[in-house]
Parts: sequence; C-alpha cells; structure tokens
Amino acid sequence: MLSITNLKARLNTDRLEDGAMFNGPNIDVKGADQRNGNGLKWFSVPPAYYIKLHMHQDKWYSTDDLPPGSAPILTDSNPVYSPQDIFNFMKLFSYTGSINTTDMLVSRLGTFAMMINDADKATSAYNLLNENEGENAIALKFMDDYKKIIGTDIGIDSDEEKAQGIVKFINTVKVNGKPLGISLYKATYDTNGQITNWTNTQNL
Amino acid sequence: MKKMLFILLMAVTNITGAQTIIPLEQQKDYVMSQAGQNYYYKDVNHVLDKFLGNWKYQNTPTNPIEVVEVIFYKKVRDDHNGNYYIDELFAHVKYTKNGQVIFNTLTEPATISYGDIFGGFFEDPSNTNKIRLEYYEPGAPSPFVLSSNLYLEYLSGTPARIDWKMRWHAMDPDVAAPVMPPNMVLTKIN
Repeated sequence: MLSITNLKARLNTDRLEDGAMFNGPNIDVKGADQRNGNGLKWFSVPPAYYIKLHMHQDKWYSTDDLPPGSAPILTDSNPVYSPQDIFNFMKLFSYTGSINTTDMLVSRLGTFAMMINDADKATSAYNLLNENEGENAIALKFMDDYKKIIGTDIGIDSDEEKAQGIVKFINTVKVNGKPLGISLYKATYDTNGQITNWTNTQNL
Repeated sequence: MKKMLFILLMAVTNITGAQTIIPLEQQKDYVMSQAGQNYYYKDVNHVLDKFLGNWKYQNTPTNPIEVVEVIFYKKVRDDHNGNYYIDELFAHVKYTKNGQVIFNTLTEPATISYGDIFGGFFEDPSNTNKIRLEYYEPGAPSPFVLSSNLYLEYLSGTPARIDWKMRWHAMDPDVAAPVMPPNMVLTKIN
C-alpha cells in the first residue's frame, strides 16, 4: 500500500517519482500509470479521486540541457512543489470540483499539503495560467516569479532558502492581482515518526 | 559622509505615494519581502542599457549553418501579474538554419513586449553584466511542460558581445528540446 511512510522510506533510494490518487481516506487507490524522474502521469482517473500523494525523491536522472542521445546525469531533485505541481493542482481542482482537493508531497524537507482556501480565486488563477496553452505572458511571469523566489534548477539557492521560498510563493504571489486561493500546510512528526499535526504555513 | 549616504538613499529609493522604487539590480534582496504592488524595480542605474539594440550570431562554416539575429528592447514599468512593477528586457529573434527561416519575430512591432523572451533578474546584484530572462520559443509547448531560462553575460569590447546560455527543463520526457542553439556568442552590429 502506497503511503506517506512508504514514500519517506524510499526518498534516498528511488530515482523515479511515485505517487497515487485516492477517492477519499483509505477508500480506493490508483497508482500512477507512468513514473518519470521528475513527474507522474495518470491516463484516466475519475473526478472522484480528489487526493493526490506524490514524492520528490532526493535525486533523478536528468536529460535537461543535454543533446539527444546523451546519457542522463544523476541530479538533485527540487525538494518543494514545482510550478508545474501548483498548476496541476489547480487543474485537478478544476477537474474534481471538490473543495477538498489535496496534493500531498513527501520530500527530504518534510511532508507538505496543498489545499484550496478560495475556490473562486483558485479557478480564476487556473483559467488565466491555462489561457493560450503556450505563449501566455501571465504563465511566463508566474514561472519567472517562482524562479526569483525559490530558485532555478541551476541556481545557488539552498534547501533552506527553497523551503522559505515555497511558503512565500504560495501564500503571497498573485495572478492578475489576485492570490492563488491555495493554502500550504506542513506536517509535524512525533519521535515515532507519526504525523501529529498539520500547520498552515501562512501562520508560521 | 552621512549626508552623502542620505542623498544616495534618497536618489535610489523614491517613495511616491504607496510605491517604493528599488534599483532593478537589487530585486534579489527584496523578493522575500515584496508586498502587493508597492514595489517598482526601476532601472535607475541604466544597467539594462548595454544589452539593448541589434545583435547577431553565426556559427563557423559548418552544416547546418545557423544565424540568429536578436533585438533587445527595454519595457518600462511592466505590471508583473499584479505583484510589482519592473523595467525589463524583451527580445525579438530571427532564427535561420541552412537559409531557411525557422521563426522570425523581428517583424513584430517593438511595442509588443510580452511572451517569447523577457526578464530582468540579476542573480548577483553586484554583477550587472549577468542577467537572467525567461525563454520561450514560438510554437513551444506550455511553460508548465517545458520551462527555459536564458542567461546573458555582457562582454565589453569593440564590438561588444553577449555570451548567451539557454537552459531548459522538461516535465515530460517526450517533450522536444528548444530548437535554437543553446550556447552562442552574439556580436553587436549597430
């Protein structure tokens, strides 16, 4: 059974992401149809599956910036939500229509969860970021701000700076002048490795 | 000395109404504290000017022969999604491969400043010869599938040159890489 505990145990050894979709706590699970080094794909999941759980393992084999046919290079993974994760979370909310839509992330920095705090704002942000598919100034500026606050793949920002950056980004960045409508939570663990609380990072 | 420092601070930090003007190259020091639309990252020290104008790259005789012509413009007080205002570069590009034009945005009006290639972020505020921009080629997939950065380094001399390095990150292994050469040295042509 895929779980937060299971993913945590594999962060240092897996080189592919893993994750699952759930239609409620402990009801049914759909594992990813395709696992990549920096992403997952589900080809067909009904809207009832509104909870996503995934990992950003410590390292992955990257072909970014390499000519075709080059051998992949073992690279540090982004330990926080990527801009694609945030966009895909809004897309998932648009698909499920559930205010309880959730995306949980397990990484070397801890366990996080994104939830919707304002359906109208989240819908508005998603529609603006999704406009025109490719050449979309709003989406490009969103990406630009993510890199300014959290760092680029080849940037010099430390894990600690990325951890602070993702809190800043999700809680304050705007799309067309409006917040994202998303809350970011971080799990608190006890000494036995059990989650005892989820803290809204807006209150940190 | 204190009086000089005060005058300098007043020159670079001009508070007008609710808006605070910050020198563009110092944005990295403010990204964690910026609030609403109160900040305007303005090119008060003209650090963008050296990148402006026409530039050209052509590889040495080889197959394929690649030619890249670029014009960098400056956009003043661009609204960055309602987060802040900023002065930044944007570029129009013509890419030719073995005589065939792959894409050409040089024909677009200079007033069109969004999309494609734009930005103005100094990763090291003390070195204004190096700047990062967003990079997006015509016809490329969504930036949420293929995200690219353009790193420029201005190289002084006669003629001046720009070291151009493009770095891309694909979220799907099936996505094709950008088509323009990722590493070039452009020469100022006027």
